[in-house]
Amino acid sequence: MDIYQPIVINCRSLNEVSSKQSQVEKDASLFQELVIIKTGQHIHIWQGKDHPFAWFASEENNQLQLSTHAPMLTKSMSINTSAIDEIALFGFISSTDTYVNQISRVIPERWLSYQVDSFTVSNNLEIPGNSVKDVALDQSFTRNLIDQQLTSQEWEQNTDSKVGIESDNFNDPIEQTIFQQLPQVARTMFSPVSSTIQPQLSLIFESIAQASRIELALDFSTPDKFLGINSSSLWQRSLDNQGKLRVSKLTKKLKRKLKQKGQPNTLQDLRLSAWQDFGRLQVQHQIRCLGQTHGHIITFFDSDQKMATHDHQAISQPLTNLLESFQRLFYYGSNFFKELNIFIPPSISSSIVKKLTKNQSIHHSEFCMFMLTLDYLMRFNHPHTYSLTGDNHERSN
Amino acid sequence: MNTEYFTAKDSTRLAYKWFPAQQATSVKFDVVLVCLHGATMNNLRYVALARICQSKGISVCLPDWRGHGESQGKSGDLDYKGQLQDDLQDLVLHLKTKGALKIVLGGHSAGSLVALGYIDQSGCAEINGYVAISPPLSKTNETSRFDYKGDQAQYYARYLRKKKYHRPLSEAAAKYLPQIHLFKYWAATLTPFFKHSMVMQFPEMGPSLPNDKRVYEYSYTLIEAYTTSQYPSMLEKITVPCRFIIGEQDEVTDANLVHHIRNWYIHPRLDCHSIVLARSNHMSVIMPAAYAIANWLSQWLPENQEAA
Repeated sequence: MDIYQPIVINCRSLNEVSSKQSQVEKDASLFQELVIIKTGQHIHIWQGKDHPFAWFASEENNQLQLSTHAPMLTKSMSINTSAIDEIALFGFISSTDTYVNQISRVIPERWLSYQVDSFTVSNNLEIPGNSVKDVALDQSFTRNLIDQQLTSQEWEQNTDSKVGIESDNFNDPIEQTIFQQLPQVARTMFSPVSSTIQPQLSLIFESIAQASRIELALDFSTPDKFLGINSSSLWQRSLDNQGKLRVSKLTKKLKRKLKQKGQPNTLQDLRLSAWQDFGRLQVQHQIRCLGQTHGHIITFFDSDQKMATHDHQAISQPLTNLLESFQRLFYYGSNFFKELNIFIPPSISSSIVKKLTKNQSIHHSEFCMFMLTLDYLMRFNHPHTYSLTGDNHERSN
Repeated sequence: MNTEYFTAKDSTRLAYKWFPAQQATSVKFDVVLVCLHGATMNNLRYVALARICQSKGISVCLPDWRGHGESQGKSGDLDYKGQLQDDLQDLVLHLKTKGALKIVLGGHSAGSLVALGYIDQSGCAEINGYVAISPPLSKTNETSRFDYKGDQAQYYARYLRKKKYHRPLSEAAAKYLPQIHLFKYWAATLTPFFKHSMVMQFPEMGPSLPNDKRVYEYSYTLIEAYTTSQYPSMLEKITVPCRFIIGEQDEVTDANLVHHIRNWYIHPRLDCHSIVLARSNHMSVIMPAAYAIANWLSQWLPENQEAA
């Protein structure tokens, strides 16, 4: 099988583009394809609804790059603070944007248009044949998986370490494994982690060796079935006055957008509406990225099955304790993290933690995961820190 | 093996044991490992590590911290906080003059933190790799294997809530636990006058080797040379390939720390491995770590690179 290449259609004039676009949208033979319409300096990208890959589009110096992995960052790129605010408020971004201004997600049946000199395609994936695995997503599956991994890993837990621990959950391998998985998951998805499902799926994809195509049955009907993070109040409390003002302006702007559509005037309504337009597809894009990293092509089919999620314990090993790690951001947070106006001294983070642990309806794991992985991305996946100088730096494993 | 000397900025004569690779010429050493000893010790403890690396074609330099072993200097004290790191700058320069082509800096226990302090202070421009064996990030509760008496108050001050767990200290860990003179320690934190007074007393650990002159009392200034509570920002400054090695039964540090460091605080594009060695503790990890380091660095030798 050959590496997949998108279909490129050259148009002679701009007038021809709109008719070509409507032809592409209706042509069933293109539902499995990525289509690029090129006219002079204009490029229009369209992903068919059944196309199985997740693509990123990044623009720099009038060059467009399409890739099936998170793009390389450069110093001329910049952080999209509104996108980060939207993830904190909704769990997703209400557009094709990512947290970096010059990089977008290509999502099915949405045209992305660019004015650039040229484009390149970076892809090493093939459309697989019939090798399909249907993944059962119950909690015991994830737990068994982690137990199996632990027995084969070099860092198997020493029984001595459990001496004197008051709770059985203190050394829960599932918590430790998921926690250590978070930076890689955030990097691969090119987004802070907004659901415990994402690292769990990443572990599952990593463990499945023999299926090139994986069918996932998940309930994508509402964001609440999937995303735990949905708390504007927690995000607002984590920001300084300037940050609060920024979020307030953003929510006003989003509400104005709603009014224009004639919909009710609440952020929750906007969230539901944006979930159908962008959120669902964005989360599927992120899951596809996780699959692609391990050589799997993910296809989704609707189901009323809700994936069992693992919520972290308030008491667990301090190194991998989400609540303590979240509080330590005050001491260890990156400088770029601070530039986002995030300010969580112990007095504030302690009250947030108490609220999260008291109110079981709020998934404390998600909010802490979001903050920790956001800090990680600002630390190492920031346009101004991404490049390393010198040679022989690449990871060899 | 020879004992050799270099002169620090302040004219102090500092010693190191030198294990040139057998195939090295007298003017060129392809890969030189600089391995710093842990607190209270000197380079004698690491001779076996050096021999293992030397047998794989790696030259090894085992310096004595100033005031330790055969190095001159005030026993258990420094003139100022960054002095050990300044000494390392002088040593790196000295080794380059001697013919070292690639220098890998690192150490065991507190020695690995002194080396990390060098990177924090001077960056990685002059070195080609970093290795930490059993790094004890002792100022931070989350990295420790056990909890100490009275850490509830420290926890409350840090998190403004009550700690809901306690990891009692094991007998094995207690033998490494230094005694801190709290009054002097806090006085030194607040007043420059006390910074050179001895605030920490280490326990004697097992029989000494012949000529093994150990230092059991440390001043506040010397402790400050290898302790940090801001390890993420220091680790971010590593821009050279690195290895973090620990024994799974380490009595001081949570063995998962090395994976934690690698996953969360080292640049994802960097060649970094975290290694937990089975059935090893804080001290017994030195020998198996030597094999891991030797296998890693031997790949850097020109003959092996050509073969690859």
